[in-house]
Formats: sequence, structure tokens, C-alpha cells
Amino acid sequence: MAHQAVTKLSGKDYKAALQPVWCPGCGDFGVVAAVYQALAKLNLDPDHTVLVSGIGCSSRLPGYVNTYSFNAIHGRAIPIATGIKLANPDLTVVVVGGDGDGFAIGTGHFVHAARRNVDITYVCMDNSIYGLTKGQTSPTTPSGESTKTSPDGNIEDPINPVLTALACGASFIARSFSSEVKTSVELIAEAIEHDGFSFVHMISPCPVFRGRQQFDFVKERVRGVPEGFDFTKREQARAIAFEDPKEQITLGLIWRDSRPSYITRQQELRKKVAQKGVPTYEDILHSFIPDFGAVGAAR
Amino acid sequence: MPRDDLIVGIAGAGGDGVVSAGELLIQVAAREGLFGMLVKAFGPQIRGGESSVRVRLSSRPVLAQGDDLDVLIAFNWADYGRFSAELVPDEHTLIFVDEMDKTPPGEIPLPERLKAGVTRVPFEQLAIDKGGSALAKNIVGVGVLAGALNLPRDAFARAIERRFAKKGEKVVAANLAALDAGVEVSEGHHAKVQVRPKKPETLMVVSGNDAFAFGALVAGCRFMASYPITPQSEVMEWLARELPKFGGVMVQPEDELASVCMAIGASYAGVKALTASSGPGLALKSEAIGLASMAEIPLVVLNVQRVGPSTGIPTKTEQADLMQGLYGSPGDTSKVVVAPTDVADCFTIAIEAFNIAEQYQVPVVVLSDQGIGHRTDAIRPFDLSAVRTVERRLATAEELAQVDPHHGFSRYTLTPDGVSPMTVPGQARGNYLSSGLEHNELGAPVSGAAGHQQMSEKRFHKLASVPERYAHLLITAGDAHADVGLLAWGASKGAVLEAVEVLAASGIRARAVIPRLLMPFPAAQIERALEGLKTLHVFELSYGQQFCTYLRSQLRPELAARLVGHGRAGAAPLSVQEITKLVAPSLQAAAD
Repeated sequence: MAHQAVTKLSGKDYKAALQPVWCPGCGDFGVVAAVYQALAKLNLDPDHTVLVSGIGCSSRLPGYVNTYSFNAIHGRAIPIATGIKLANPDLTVVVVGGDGDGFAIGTGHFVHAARRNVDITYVCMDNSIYGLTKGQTSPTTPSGESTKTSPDGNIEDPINPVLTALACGASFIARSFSSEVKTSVELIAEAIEHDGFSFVHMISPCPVFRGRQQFDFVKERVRGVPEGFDFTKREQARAIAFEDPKEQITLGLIWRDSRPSYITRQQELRKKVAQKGVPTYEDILHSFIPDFGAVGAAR
Repeated sequence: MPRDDLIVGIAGAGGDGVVSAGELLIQVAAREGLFGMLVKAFGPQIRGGESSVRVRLSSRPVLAQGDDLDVLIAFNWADYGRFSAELVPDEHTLIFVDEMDKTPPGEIPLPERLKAGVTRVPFEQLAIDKGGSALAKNIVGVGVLAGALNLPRDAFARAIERRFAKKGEKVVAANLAALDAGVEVSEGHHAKVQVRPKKPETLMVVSGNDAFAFGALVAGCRFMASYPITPQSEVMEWLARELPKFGGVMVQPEDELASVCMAIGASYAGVKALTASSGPGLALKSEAIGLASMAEIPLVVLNVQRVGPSTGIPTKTEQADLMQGLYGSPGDTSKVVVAPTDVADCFTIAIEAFNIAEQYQVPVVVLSDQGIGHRTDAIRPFDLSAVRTVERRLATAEELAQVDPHHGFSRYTLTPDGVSPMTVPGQARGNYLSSGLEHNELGAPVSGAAGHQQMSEKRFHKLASVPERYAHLLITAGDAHADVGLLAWGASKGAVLEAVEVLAASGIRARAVIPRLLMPFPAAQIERALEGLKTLHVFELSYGQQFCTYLRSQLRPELAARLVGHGRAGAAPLSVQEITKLVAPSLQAAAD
């Protein structure tokens, strides 16, 4: 159970003193605003909340939030967050980062975090470009786009984060858009409350290296989930995961299953182990001393 | 020097039970009060391939694996042939081979002069006739050893009863019959040396990897994340079994990167954490070790070294990850490097590593190796009453009450000793930004030269007191008036200490100096230990002479100039004979 703040906190109570280094118009401003409000919505105790990130523009976000925060190394936010959660399951642990961090250098961790179902939340801010290093192709850059490392157009196809999450067994999958702050607040809060690995694919445009047209392109194509949509139905989630982002981009809760989280299973395992009794260090030491006892005739 | 030890070699095919015979021997001998060392070697097969063991027993602690054998059991010549370089018989060796082996005399992998003395024993036939199955072949072998080594038959019988008790009385009786058949065969074949315990002693039998894992547990480690790799996996297997009993976690992540990062996360959250690997895995962890250094997060990284580079020889030992351990992270990484020197030391050094990591908020790299990790020793039990554990310096509630909530907790406050009080999530008013970016006292990123200089000084200065505080990690042995010095580290200690004794017995006064703390380099302590020595021989299992190179870079120039490197590639542990051969001629030259 998440630790609540003693008094009712508002979004600005979660704002840290450090000023963002992001460029004007960066989608990440919308995301950090949503993070403040989502934490306030759940009234989470800042002392029991940890934000973890890797490297990238969006990975600077933990520094701007007045909780425990950890700005680690490129691609490794998920395992660091996993270690924190396993060491102290009482903490609320949220990972934030970008598409390069999560779906290029850190892909392997995403795959296994989804499968492992440790109760952490991952908000991936996807701008489809490497912004911090100033404009190289990212794993989600659409094919045909020109970047500094694909000056004649990207000849690779992008990875599909939502489909990947579904394939890897993430138990909570949602998508939002940085300018839709209200939707983001709802989805981030729900993701944090979810007991298991929760993934929010957060489209967060980069006006500097992808231009104003990226924002407009997304804006024109976003829509809510269709009427009667059921996020517990695999086929329906799959249909959204497979949609062509050139046609439409569905925002909302896409998939949720309620299989037990790693933490729940671990607690069950501990109970089972404890029934067999807890040895002392002396007991263990004695297990290394050969003692064949006085068994039978040979003695 | 009078012998006070017995060395046994056993070789055979998969299913011959070579390893369990060796384990039975060392356990029974330990129960009788004999110290021992068991070294296993395997062929490349995953399961069922040829294997060999070498067991050295003595009435005093065994330092090294010893040289020529006293007894050799070969279940067949072909499999023995694969280990003939490791299990060398001489004129005094009792050699037993299975009667069924039809190898033509010309192809028997023994020197001609020894072939006539081989005793042919129907191991397999006796196992079938008396033990009811060819599987009891190794127990016949154990019976032969009991007789040949003059060890009490009843001690083996008790061990066999205990081992097979679960399989029922019939199996126990059959194995006892196989044992007795072996004892009978050994009549008239007795090793020249008799080894008896000096006094009754309770001994433990443990491998280096298990000793390290136990040490970690006792040190308070409650989190381990590791990826399987030879020769480390036993450490994680042991802790996977034991940690949940103590409310701890052993998790096996997707790769080495995740392993070290999960351990960093757990430690950041306040739990003593370990990650372990071998050389290739340490390489993958090195970026994250830099993070732990930069963010000042306690962390213990165990590297059970194996032959490299690349995949190398995973099941054999080498000491060539020294430079990687010392310098293998990007930037100026402040860290501590320690090395256990034998099986018992794996327990001790595990505890010291956690103590240093917690006390100095620093990553500690432990360089063990396959030679001790996979070795099993019969030794005096660890003294749990002597264990001291150290906890990290957490900010107190009173200190945190003073924190200005607008700026947050000053995690990297500059202090006289360089160690800043830290907090863990859950501590009220303790929140801060932990970062791999260069930062100021608050943890906020900085990019100026002055800030980087100041924080680099902090991270290195805080370790300045390690060599003095951990001065007991320097081992010196031998003659105070020696002029021959032998320097080594890690698993090479055993052979070096024994060489010092062998040299002393032939009138050569030598002193061994073996640092277990390698970084920060304990220069003052080592230079004191080297006082009076004229020649400084450096022994290590590194073709590139990494230890000698490191010593040269750290010692005073006049000492550095006297270092004579004898490093060689690993795969075989250092032997006493090779040390004495290298040292004695130079001494002869000095005397002329």
C-alpha cells in the first residue's frame, strides 16, 4: 500500500527548486506538470516516492520533482528502479525517460520488467528523436524522416512501444500525449495505482529537432478509445497496438490484466520459506561441518 | 623438509563418481581432524564428461594443492590422459587402474619407468559383484584409498551410511560391501607417508564461493542480483537458497547490466547489496560501477576471475582481471579493490568488502578467482564471534529536521573525512537527487571545472584512511631478516607461503608480502613490509604481469626498480616448485 502524505498536497508541493533545462515548447513540460498533479491526486508521500531515470532530455525530469529522485545512466533506469522496489516494496517507484533510453539502449530491461511484473510505473516520453545529443535518429523515428544521422531519410522502420509492451506481458498499458495534461494525469495516477508493471507511452514532441509539424501531426491523429472499448480484451488491445500512427493514435488505457505482481509472489514465497524455519548463522556454520552422526552398525 | 601431507588424484569418465569420491574423502578426513584441499577439474562437456579430483590432506592447514601424487586412481587411462599434466605421479606413487582397461602398454599415459608398478584392480567388477551396481565403482575406489592412506574404514562406513540412508538399507549395505572390497584390495599397498591429526579438531569443509556467499549473508547483505556465469554461479545459487529465509532477495535479471543496476538500486534504498560475475561480466558492469562511485552508493561487486580474454577458459583460473578491477570504469572512478587469498579468506573478505562499502559509500570490487571459488578446503570453522559489521552513516532525524525543505537534503555535504551522511527513501526531509552527473553538495548537476575538481577530491580523499584502518589486510609471512622477497596477491598466496617454508628448510631466508587491499594502494604498509629485502620477486597468473606493473606504478622508484616479474598465463595454479626454481638461482647468484 502506497504511503500517503500526512497533509493534503497540491501539484506545486511536488515541484522541486531545480529549474528545467528543456527548450521552449518541449512536450516534457506538459509531462512534468502531469506528474506533479498525478502525485497530488494520489496524495503520495514525497518521502516514500522515488523517481528514477536514465539519460536523455526527459530523464532530467526526476530532478524537478520534490521526491527522492535518481538520475542514473543511459538505459538502466528500469533495473535501478526494480532494485529499489525489491529492496523496499513500501516505496512508490516511477521510472521516466525517453524513447532512446527505453527502446534502444535499454530495450532488454523493458522486455523483462514487463514479463517480471515488478510493481513499478514506467512513463516513456517518446519524441522520436535523440534530443540531448542534438538530433540523431531514434528507435521510434518514422521511416523516411531526415535526421542528423539519416540525412537522406531514415530507411529503418520504428519500433512500436505499445505493441512491444503487449508482447512482453506488461500488465498495464496506456498512451497519452504531452499536451493532453488531464488525460496524462488520469493515466499516470492509474498506472501508479496498478499492482504490477505499468507502462505509459507518452508522446512528447520535440519542437527543436522534429519541428512544429511533429506536434501538429500527432495532434491531428489523437483520439480516445472507441465506444465500448474493453481494456481487458486481448483482441481489442491488440487492434489498438497494431494501428498505424500515420492514420490514428489512440490515447487511453489500452490493456490491463490482474495477474499477481512480482512483489506479491515474492511475499508468498517468503511465507512458504519461513514455514521451514529460519536458521541462525551458527546453524549454517554447522551445516559445513561433516558429522556423520552415530548411525548404526559401523560405529 | 619432512612430508606431512598426502596427495590423492582420481580420474575417470562421467558417471564414475570421481567428484563424489573426492568429496567423501575430504569430508571423512576432515571429520577425523585432517586439514585438506580438494581441486576438481572437468572436461568441456556440460554433463557426463571426464573429470578429475586432487585431494591434499595434512595434519596442518593446507596452503597449496601440492605437487606429485601419493596415490592415483585411474578408472581408465583415456580419461586420466586428459588430466595427466595436473595429476603427476612419481616413483613413490601408488597407481591403481581398472582391470577392465585394455589400453595397449604403449598408449598408457604414464612415463615408461612407472608402468610396471601399476596395480590393476577390478573396480567395476567388484562394484557389480559386491555393490550390486557399476555405480558403486567410486566407493570401491574410496575403500582402496581408506586402506592405502591408513584412514579408518569405520569413518568411511559412517559417512556412507549417512549418505545413502535415504535410499534404504539395501543400498547402504551394498555400498558398505563395495567399501570393504576396496579396503581388501588395498592390502599390501600403503602410502609411504602417514598423516595423523596432531590433536582432535573440528573442521569445516567449504568451497570458496560458498564461503563468500556465507560471508556476505553474515555481513548483512540482503540483496543480490546476478546473472549466471562460470565460475561465479555457486555464489548466487547459495544466496538464492538462503536469502529468502532472512527476508532478503536474490534476483536473476536479464543481463549483467541489470544485475549491477538492481544492486545499486537496492543499496540506494538502504539494503546491503551484492552483484557477482566473472571477468566478461565485470566488463559489462563497469559503467554502472562508475555510477555507484559518482553517486556514492555502497556496492559490493564480486569477480570470480577465470582465464581470459573473452570467453577464455571458463573453468580455469587466472589473475588477469586486476587492471580491469582497478581501472575498468570510465573516468576517475574512486573505488576499493580487495582480494581474498584462500577459501577461508572468501568469508573474511566478503565481510570486509561490505564494511568498507558501507563505511565509505563506495563500490568495492572483490577479485576472487576460479582457483579458490571452486576449491573446497577442510579448515577450522569460521569464528562468528569475531565478526564485526559496519553500517552506513545515515542522517539522523535531528539532522534532517534542520533541512530547508525548499532546497532539500544536502546529500553530498563536504565533510572533513569526505564521507557525507546519506539518507534512504522513507526518511522524512531526506529526499535528494542522486545522480551520475557531476553535481554539487545538493546533488544538482554542475559542469564547471572547479566543482568537478572539488567533488573528485571529495570522492578520492574519503578513501585516504582505508589503508591504515584496514592495515590488517596486508599479509606478511616468513623471515624478518630475509633478503629475498616474494610478492603475490589472491590465490597465489598459498604456493608462495609454502615456497617460503620450503626455501627456509634449505637455508634460504625469504619473506612473503601479500596485499589483500589493492586499491587504494597501501603504499606505506607495503613499503614497511618490504624493508630489508634485496630482491623482490613478483608471482602472478597474468601473462601481461599486471600485478608487477601495478606495483611498479605505486611503489617508491628505488623499490619499483628492484621488482622482478614472474607472471605467466593462468589455467594452472601457481605451484611451489615453480616458485622455488625461479627464486633459488637468483639467490645463488647473490651468494656468489
